[in-house]
Amino acid sequence: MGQLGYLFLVMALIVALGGAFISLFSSRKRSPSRWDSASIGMALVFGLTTLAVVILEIAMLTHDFSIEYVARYSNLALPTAYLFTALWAGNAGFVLLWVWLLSGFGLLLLTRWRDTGTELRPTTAAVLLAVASFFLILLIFVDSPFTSLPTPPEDGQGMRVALQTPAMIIHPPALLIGYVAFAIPFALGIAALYTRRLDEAWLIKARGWAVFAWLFLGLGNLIGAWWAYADLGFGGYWAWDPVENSSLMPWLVGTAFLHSMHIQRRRKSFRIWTMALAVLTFFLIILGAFLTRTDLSQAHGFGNLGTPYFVVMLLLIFVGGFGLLYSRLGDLKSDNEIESVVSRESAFLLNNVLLVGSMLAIMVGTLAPLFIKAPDGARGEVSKAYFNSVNAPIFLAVVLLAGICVTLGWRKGMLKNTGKAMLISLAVAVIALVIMVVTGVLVVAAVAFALAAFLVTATVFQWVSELAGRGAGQPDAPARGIWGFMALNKNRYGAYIVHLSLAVMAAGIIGSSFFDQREIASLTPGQSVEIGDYTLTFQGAEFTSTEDKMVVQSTVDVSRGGVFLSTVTPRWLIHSADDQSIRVGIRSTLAEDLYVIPGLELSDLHADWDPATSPMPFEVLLNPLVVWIWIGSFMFGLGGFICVWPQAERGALAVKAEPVRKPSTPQPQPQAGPTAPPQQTGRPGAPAPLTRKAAKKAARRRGKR
Amino acid sequence: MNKKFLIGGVIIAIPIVFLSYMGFKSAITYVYDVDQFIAQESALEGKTVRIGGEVMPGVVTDAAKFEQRFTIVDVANQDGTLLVVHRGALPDTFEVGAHVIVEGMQNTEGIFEAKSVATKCASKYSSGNAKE
Repeated sequence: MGQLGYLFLVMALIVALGGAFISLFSSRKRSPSRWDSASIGMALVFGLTTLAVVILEIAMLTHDFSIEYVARYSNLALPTAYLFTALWAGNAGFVLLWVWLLSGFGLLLLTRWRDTGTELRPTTAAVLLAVASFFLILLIFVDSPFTSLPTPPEDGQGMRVALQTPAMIIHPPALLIGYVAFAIPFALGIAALYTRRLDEAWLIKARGWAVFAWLFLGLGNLIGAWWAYADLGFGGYWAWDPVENSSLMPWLVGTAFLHSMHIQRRRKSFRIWTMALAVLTFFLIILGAFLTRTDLSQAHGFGNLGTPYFVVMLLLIFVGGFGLLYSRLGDLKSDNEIESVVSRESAFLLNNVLLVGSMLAIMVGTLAPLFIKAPDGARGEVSKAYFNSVNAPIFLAVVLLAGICVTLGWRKGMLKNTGKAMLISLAVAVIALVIMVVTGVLVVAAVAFALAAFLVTATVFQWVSELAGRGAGQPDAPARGIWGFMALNKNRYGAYIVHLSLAVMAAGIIGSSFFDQREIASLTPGQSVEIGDYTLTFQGAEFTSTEDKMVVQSTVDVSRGGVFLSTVTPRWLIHSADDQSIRVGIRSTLAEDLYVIPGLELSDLHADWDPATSPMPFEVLLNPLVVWIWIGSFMFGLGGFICVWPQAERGALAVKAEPVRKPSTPQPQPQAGPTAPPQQTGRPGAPAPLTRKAAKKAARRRGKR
Repeated sequence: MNKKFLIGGVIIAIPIVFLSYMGFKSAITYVYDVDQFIAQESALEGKTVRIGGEVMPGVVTDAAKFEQRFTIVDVANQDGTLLVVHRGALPDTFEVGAHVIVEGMQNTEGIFEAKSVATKCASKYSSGNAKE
């Protein structure tokens, strides 16, 4: 069966490569049908990879240990739910899912694409199929999920106990969706460059996918942080590990990309930035995929490298993408210049610089081991302190900027209420700062909190002002209730929620970074340890063994000032000598997390060990405000989903039509037909249709004439 | 207009680059192999260093003192060894044969007092961690 799976992968590669070539060289013809060579090719790749995925999953569920991947990541005792997650437990399975999702998303894109910007379609398909080919090449030539074992073992090695947790079901797939989906804006961007269709047509398609990818990449990172902290018991939620950085860097640049797209749609400027960011985001994702396979990381080290393939791919993306961009620089000139330093456009420009700067700083730190060598031969690296000290000011600057920007207007900057909004927000921030400093809070942290307060105040003030002023200035627009109004402008309010989530998460990060405490103690039942104003009393341990693991569970009572609060039960799971996992005991409140790590080791479980009387080592951490990070994560997800959700109509705050401008260089402009660029609706004064529905309507109207 | 933004961009970039550079230089740490460390023991006396090695059999733990003593050996040459003592929780993936990086200082008795132990499990997909 494994061989059949492998065969399907080979067939998929052939189709993908063939499809890419055919699409690229048929890009002269504009095919109106949705089932052209591009979609058929994509559908075939999707079908074949689906079969491969199904074969692997069946092998997993039926415990077919003749396939090495199954034997490595599962065993007979593994619960069924984790037999599914085992599919992405290893590198080869993850890459297989990558191609599968990529072809699936590609198919979705191609078959729903019928009107606007169809010149972009063949090149987009070619790029997507080429990317799919890359991953298929990795699967076939470097690390296949279908390699078979000459003598199948009786039982598999099983999944590490640490991974048998619900977080394993969500975290890798969320990240994967983010990684995969960013290929689409990239492909569309390349297509726009290649076909010189450099107005906003590619953005119409790219935007939805970009927000979708960005949301999942962000959530994947946040779930990973939560997993490390609450589930795996690392004590912290972010270690600036190369693998973590590999997922953060594309997200930072992706954020800049999202903002840049917004400007390009509103002001027809920032074209070069937007295109460059689309290429860069995807480049960083592939780079990240490569970095996680190397041994830079102390924590995750996955799979065989496939270095030559990655190097070629990365060069292709970088040189090809930026080279193409450079050759089209003239066509990418903005229609509008930035008119004022105090304007939304400048704020966005600064935002781009800050985010890309942060990414570069992280990149340098991550790659440091490659180029730092001590004279005495030791390997060099940078500590967490570097990442924190560089990114903290940048992060706070972004928070401040988000607060300022939301009150600024386009072009000239100062709206009627910009002054009022800024003043009130500043006042709140200063008052908060003074109160904190006076009550003895560390000044640096107080400033950071004040900035978060500024962002919250500015955003809420602006939000409320907009609701209060809805309908004003548009006397012919129908009167709308608050919910109706917000629904029409859901992207704006989704973004506000995301910005608020940023402030909330900032508060959580500041609290847990500056004010955490740590105690270690070894307690016999009845003994206590104190941390902060808590007293933790060990009540004894319990030892249980099931068919595949042993569990040592400790009971610890938490009290404060003599008043009993709650009980935490940190646990230690032992599958085998080299497969153990702890589950920390956490008592979370809005103010702080009490975090109890059991410190028993295997060599402590000797003959004299008695759970009821032997001393139990505990490491106890007090982490303030951590729960706000998860609250902020939830808000982030909420805001993001609101933005991703398809919109029916555009609202009163939507983009008004700019008068149709002559393009800066002569471009082939079709005069009629369903592929006419969206600005030329033929109806004077009509708003440029910027949703697919409206564009379809306009196209149909044009076609009728 | 463009010149103004270029200058502004440079003005913003300079502190970022400066901060990064200073932060970078001060945060560089070196990871020595056990052999390298032993060779320069006297030169590194009193300095906090990071050493990478492989855990040898014979890990002794004391639950009452929450302390562990173990020996690490040079990964490549498998000859030089170093005795390490650590207080606090060890990572889940710590085991005989694991590749660890210990950070700390050697004390006057020649035992390396590790403030932190981080593991990397070279073989399987694992979630090693660093307990600081």
